[in-house]
Amino acid sequence: MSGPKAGSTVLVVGGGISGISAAVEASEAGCEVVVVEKEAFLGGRVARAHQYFPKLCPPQCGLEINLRRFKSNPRIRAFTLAEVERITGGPGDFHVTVRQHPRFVNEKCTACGACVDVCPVERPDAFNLGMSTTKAVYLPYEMAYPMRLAIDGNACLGAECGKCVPACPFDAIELGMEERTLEIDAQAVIVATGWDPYDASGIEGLGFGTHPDIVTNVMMERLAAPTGPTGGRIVRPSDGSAPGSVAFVQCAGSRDDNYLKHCSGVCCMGSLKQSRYVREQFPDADIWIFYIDIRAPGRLEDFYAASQEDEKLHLVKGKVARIGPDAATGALIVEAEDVLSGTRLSQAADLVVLATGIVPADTSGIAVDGGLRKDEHGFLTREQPLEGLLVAGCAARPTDVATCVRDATSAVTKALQFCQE
Amino acid sequence: MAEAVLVRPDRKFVDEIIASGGGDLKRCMQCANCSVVCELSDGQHPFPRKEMAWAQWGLEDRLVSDPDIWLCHQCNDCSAHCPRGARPGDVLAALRRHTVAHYAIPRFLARWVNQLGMLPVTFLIPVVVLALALLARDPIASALGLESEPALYAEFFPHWLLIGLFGSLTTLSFVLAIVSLTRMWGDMRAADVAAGRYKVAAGFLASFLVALKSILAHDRFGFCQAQAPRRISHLALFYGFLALFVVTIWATIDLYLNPVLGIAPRYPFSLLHPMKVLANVGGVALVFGAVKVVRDRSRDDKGTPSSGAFDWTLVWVLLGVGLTGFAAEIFRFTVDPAAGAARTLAWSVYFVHLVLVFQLLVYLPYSKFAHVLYRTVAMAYAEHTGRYRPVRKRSAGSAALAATPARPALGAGGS
Amino acid sequence: MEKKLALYVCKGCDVGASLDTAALCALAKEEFDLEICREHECLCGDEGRELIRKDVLDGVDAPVVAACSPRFMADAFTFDGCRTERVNLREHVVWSHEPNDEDTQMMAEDYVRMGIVRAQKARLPEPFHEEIDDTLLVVGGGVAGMSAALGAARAGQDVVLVEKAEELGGWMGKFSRHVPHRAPYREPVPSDVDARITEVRAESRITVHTGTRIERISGQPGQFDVTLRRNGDSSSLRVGAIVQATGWKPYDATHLGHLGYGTSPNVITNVQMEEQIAAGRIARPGDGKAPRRIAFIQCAGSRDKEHLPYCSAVCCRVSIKHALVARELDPECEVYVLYKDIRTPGQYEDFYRRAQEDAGIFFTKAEVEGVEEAEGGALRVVANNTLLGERIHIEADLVVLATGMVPAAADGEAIRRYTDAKAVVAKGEAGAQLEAAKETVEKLAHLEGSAILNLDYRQGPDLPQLRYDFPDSHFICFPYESRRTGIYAAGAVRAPGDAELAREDGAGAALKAMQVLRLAKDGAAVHPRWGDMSYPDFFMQRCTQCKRCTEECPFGTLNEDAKGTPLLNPIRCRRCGICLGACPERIISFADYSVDMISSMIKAVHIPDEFDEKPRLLGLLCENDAYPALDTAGLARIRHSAWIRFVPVRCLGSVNTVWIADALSRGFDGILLIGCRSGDDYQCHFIRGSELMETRSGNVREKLKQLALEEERVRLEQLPINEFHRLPEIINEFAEQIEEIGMNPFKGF
Repeated sequence: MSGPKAGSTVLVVGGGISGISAAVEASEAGCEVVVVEKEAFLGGRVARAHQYFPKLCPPQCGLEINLRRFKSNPRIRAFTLAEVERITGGPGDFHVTVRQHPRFVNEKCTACGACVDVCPVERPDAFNLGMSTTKAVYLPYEMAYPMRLAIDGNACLGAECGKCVPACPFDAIELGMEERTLEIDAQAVIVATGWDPYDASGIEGLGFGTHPDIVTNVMMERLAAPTGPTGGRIVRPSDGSAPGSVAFVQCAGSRDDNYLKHCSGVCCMGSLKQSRYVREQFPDADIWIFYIDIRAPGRLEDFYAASQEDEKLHLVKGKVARIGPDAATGALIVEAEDVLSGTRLSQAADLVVLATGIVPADTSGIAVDGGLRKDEHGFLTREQPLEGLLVAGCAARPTDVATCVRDATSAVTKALQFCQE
Repeated sequence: MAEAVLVRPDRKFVDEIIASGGGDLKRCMQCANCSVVCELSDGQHPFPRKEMAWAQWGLEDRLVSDPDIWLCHQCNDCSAHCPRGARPGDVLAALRRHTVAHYAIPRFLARWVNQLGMLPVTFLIPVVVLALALLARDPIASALGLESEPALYAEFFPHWLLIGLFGSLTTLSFVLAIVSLTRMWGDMRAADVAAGRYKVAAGFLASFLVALKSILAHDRFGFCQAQAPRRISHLALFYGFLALFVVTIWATIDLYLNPVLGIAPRYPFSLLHPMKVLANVGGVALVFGAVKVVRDRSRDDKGTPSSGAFDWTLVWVLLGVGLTGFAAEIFRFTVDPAAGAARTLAWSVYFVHLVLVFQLLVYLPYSKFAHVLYRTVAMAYAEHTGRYRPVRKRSAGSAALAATPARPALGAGGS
Repeated sequence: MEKKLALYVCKGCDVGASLDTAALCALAKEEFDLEICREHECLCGDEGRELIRKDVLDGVDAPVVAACSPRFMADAFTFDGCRTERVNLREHVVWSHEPNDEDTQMMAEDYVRMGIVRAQKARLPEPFHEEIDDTLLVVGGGVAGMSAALGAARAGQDVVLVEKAEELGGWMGKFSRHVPHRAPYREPVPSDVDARITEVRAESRITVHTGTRIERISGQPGQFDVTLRRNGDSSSLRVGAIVQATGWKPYDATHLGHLGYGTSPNVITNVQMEEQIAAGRIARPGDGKAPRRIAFIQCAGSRDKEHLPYCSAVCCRVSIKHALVARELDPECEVYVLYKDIRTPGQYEDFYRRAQEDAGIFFTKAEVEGVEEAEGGALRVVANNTLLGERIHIEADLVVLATGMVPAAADGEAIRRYTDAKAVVAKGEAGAQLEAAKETVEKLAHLEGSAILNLDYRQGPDLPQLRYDFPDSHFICFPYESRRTGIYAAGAVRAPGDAELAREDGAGAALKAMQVLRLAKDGAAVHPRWGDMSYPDFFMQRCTQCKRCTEECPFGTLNEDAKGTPLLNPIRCRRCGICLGACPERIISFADYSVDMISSMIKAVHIPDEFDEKPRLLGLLCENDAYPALDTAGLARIRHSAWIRFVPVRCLGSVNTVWIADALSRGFDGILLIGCRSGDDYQCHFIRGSELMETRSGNVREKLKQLALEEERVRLEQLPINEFHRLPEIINEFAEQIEEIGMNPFKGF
């Protein structure tokens, strides 16, 4: 009969939407699957998003289903806080070295949270991009999988504090837990390491980091999310007030020889989507989107067309070159040329959202025989020197969730070739 | 609905702009970053984004009649920040060069003066002209009964000949230049009228005075970011040249007007004579400025303008004029006016000096030097039509603009 | 055989501290005479699990674990050969209610009662066993189809590839130069389709049928009986799963008269341009001369309400490719590209850059108004809102319309409406129905013979459409979700896209097809209820052929015989239970989910009499989104009214209105139904669940009126999973409203 030979394993690097999808699909095709995720939870970037375009539906909905398939499937093993160090061997016979960082909390944890109450240390919450804090022992987020707490080794005071240890009724806390290395054999490897938001502070003129009310699109997702630092209220970080006008600045770094040469593919839809967040909370707010070209491929055009019906949503063709506070009023001023009218425009806005782009996540830590092949933008090429090493999702190119999932699924089909008798 | 205007892309024009410094023109994706980073660009007629579009499509008529290309001082802030590396600053420079050639009378001269290949010819012309003048010197002198002057150079190239020759030739080229400038003014006006935006905001003379004031202060240079140092170089060149020009005029007056007025001529000036001092200071400034420009233009960063024959010729000529001028001066105080090898050397240096001065003055409307005329006229026109406002401080201006709610981009991105 | 139940109450995570757990055990003993009832400090720990395992070995086959949510510690409480019932005391009771409070205790007791009843009623599903054929049928031999075939074959699957044309390769096979899909993304690349065709031909596992169409497909995944038709003669075969990769067709340019198509021979489409390029020379159809000036009009028909509202996604890159090739073939020519927005996402930006570096290619944004013939055979393109001025016209010798992609698909549901209407007309019984039918026949006449897959499905012969005739998935997270289990659309037929996407998509769809076969062998369901072994069991004697189940099943699981009796195809089934909810005779049940089971659970709740001032509310909760949301609210320690008792359901669509009736007659004061969002952007994993419930609850309200009960007593709410914090608000607000309305008069009857 067809299908993978018994016990054949697919190793998936990265537990974001691409990695999770690849894992679920591979396991349901009959493979053993190992997922290696560097963060303390699965879900990656999508877990941080408020809603998907164009349906404006919550990512947690799909994650819940996927993770249910995950939990109920004995063929999947997931390692969080783990990173792939080395990949050797070849198609059908890979040897992968995984470094497992200590969580300091073991499988006995029931997420009851008794430890959190006694922990004296506050740390910036990476999940909310530093816009809030958690204790040193923390649950990554409300719907995290695995539903277990973790201790931030850098923040934790360690044994001399140790308040959490007796507080835990299930002796789930092991402050002495140590880093360990695992060796995993696999027939195929799917690299789904995903992306990082481009560091906006490097962009001249856009003033990120100089003014609290200039935020990035990823921060905006957290501001709009019920699980975010403001409980889902979109506010001006400077004073917590409601913005009367919001300006979205497209191509903040993307399509720019000085920063990111590539187009990040999803930022146009991202900002159109976020403009709906704003509209939902502030029916009268003036919203500005400054763009070079609006890129809404396929049926996503519907969403763009619907947005154009909004009379207080102003789409301006013209790249923003400068953002800064007005000397007189202190209001943030966004400067661009409105290309279609040929006039220069300095628009005051209460909140400015930089549509920063997608940068392929750093894979330099993964030692691979023959190396990982990248294109000039730093994305992994589909064909890798090492056959059987497959690439899926934003590791290969900036794209949306649905495409990532298709990618992951097709990567599994290719992986199956190396799982035959 | 407005009558559709025919747009005829002119590939040759595009190629010319690309060949003469605008090499990256086509990379522009019309994002308009340039029009915003430009501190000189104005709110109602921002540049250089629209010029880039016109240039990409080779729309020559619109560009030669566009005052904005002259309001650009090639700070190159636009080039430094262009997301596509299209170097708008250099494209506008190429457009200015083209415009000079476009209006020049005769055109071929403008082409020659700025072509490396034609350099020998453009040097040969003054050499021949001056040689002929020398041959004609004695016959004319005897005919008019002028006795030769005892001074070192005057004996070689008497002042009456010098002034007669340069005076007439420079005047001629200036007259032609004025015709060209009038044509440009007319074209700029016609374009604005056609677009229905022509209006008179300031009187003709007043506009020129404002322009002049701005030029004397070099205030627009002050807004350059990437090219801040250029202001100093240009100031030095500008005032150096001005000083020398003044001295020359004064010398002429002193030689020919004073005797008539019964004032004893002071010429040749002693080293301590205010005019001599002014001349020397001016000479130093000129040389300093020229050298600095060479260094500015040789830097290797995004802000540095690309430079071609058009730019270099002028710089080297200015430098040459300065250096040969000083050499000649030194000889004047050291060489014995009576015959000898030294005298021959002095004379030949002086001859070269004159050739360069010829290059500078007679060729002015055709070389890069023409920008003094064209930019002045364009700035005056902008002032005259209320197009050019002195660049407002960013925040203040922003507030003003922000106050008038910018139009919701007529369904921009429109489907 | 009689089941042996046992109750295990966990005291960890505040449960012991907030509840009288001993009382819970006592209750189990008294009311259900369970012999074994144990408490433990931490059931999920080794010791706790050992405790249960021992009992299981001693014959307990239905352990009831009253601890945390079943969403956690699943494997901790999985024991061989028995079905563990989970009672959610942690999230739904102690973390969301006043500790050591009478009402909290009552709530816990009710949940234990319901759990025990469920354990009594539910059986371990026994999977069906059917003969499964392994072959994969791929319909369409273009890029996507060939990729699906190759992907599956190399994964060890036998494949039958059917292509209606005489050659494999599809459209891309006709195009000699392609957009670069690999770094560097700069130059047009030669077609690689021939190489693919050779691979397909060489692959021993792939059988290719060209010049062949699908005449009929009947059956279910693993058992599809397919009839092929090749010039006149039919042949039949059996396959297990199907990938539809029928591709696209260019938008019909004859609708684009305003752009000069049809009026001037020198206005052509981008497909005609491909033909010219393949022929190696670009010429004006008018006079055969080489054009000096070529104008490309982007979005010709796309992004246009009058034509194709969507963006065809590839045209920008295609025109850039054409521009570069045209310039390569004739360096003297000039190319103008008039675009609305240049759409070259990701690394394709480099391809745009490349075209910009060519001085002979001129780009401008423009809204093209029209194309007319100018003197000397030239064409005049009139455009608005350009970067060159308000309103301009450009002269060109050749105009290329970048027309969009239309899916080569058929709308199964529409065809079905058409055929049904035709049947009515044929019967010819007078009446309004006949008139309506005649109208439908007229309106849908164009669908005659449009079917592609010719599925023998009650709900139509082809995949249902999502939008603009694309049979795409509605789910962002699940792009391969299909409403026809075992049949997957791939490539341009499902959404406009380039060859690269088609290639990936084909391979992906192949995987989904292989999964179905694998799971069907075990009698298990595919996503979203992956691995579910239960399936609907029909008690046919009581069926009244009302057809509700056959109509309402979102997956076309049920066919009908002539009389309208439902015919089950279990392998098509996705176990949502919507048929169970639809059946007025209540004859449909699953081993572990039935009308009787839920009714009994509802009846197990202890209803205080009206003088206790303790109303009781029933909450029917979608287990996919609402249930996790309630867990999360508990985790966040947000409190909700202790009057309510929740029963998780597979989907709101699986709610049978008899439960509501039972609850009311039992004395519940209000019923809260919480499901996923319905409408255009529905979030229901079973497509129409909450939508169906809306219509049903409409009828319920009618019933309430008849019983002289306030219709506010039944409320339907839709809640996205991430808005868990709103759930307690909804519950409390409903509780208050019911308190205002007052007690259910039927209490105690």
